[in-house]
Amino acid sequence: MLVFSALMVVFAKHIIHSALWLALTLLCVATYFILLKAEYLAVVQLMVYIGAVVVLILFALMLTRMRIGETTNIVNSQVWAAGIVSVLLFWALGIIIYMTRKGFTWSSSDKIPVLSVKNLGSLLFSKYVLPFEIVSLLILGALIGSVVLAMKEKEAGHDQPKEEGK
Amino acid sequence: MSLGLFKIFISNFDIKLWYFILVSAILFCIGIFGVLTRRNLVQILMSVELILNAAMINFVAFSAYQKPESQLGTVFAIFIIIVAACEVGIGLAVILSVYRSKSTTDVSKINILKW
Repeated sequence: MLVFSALMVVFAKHIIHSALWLALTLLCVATYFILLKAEYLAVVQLMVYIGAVVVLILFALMLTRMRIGETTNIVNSQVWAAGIVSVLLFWALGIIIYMTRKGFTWSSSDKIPVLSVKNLGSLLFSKYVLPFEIVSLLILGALIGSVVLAMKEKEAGHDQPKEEGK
Repeated sequence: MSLGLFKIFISNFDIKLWYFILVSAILFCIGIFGVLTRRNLVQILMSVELILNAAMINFVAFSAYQKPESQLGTVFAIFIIIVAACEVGIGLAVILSVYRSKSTTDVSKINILKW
């Protein structure tokens, strides 16, 4: 399901369809996080990615006035070279995964404990508080930078909804 | 090779770690393909999102299978989500300003650095 929708992101004829398939792909990634017992991450993925990023991409498509029916020439001329490159890359990664699969059996999926959000929050504010603050500075910089970049002379462009929620 | 992987998969039913790693590798390669082939800037940005998601699956999967009590993968993935959100915001602002000056988002037509 994830592979199919990710392929559709790349191969969809319309750009709007591609963005909607991207939303489905991100939803599948959120289900993977639930499988890995990271529920908080799944919720954050739902809110930030599907709620904000996909909507932002759709807004950008609207503001750059994509034609809905525009399908011609969506890929450039390097499609065969790029296909060969990505297939070779996947082949190499698959070989590596196959060779090291013995090391991957550390434990089974039943043994992953369910840890609370409280634990995660205290960890984030005690042990990882410095990266947290740095990332908030990054968000501030991104906010100001995107507003400055998108600003026109007379009116400000579409302001960028900065999603924090952490 | 793939047949061997499939046999391993059906022989023991619980989800192994390499399954997540394989899915992440597939997602990464699709993202690379999209970055290399798309013409539209917005679609290149979407493919970059796919690559970031592949990296995030890797982080969370390794963390959950090897040292789940540390929750390091979740913390790292949260930071990745923040950085990706910033990147999309900045990227779309850049795309908008490029669109205003060039009236296109086709990367093969944006050649002002070429002489």
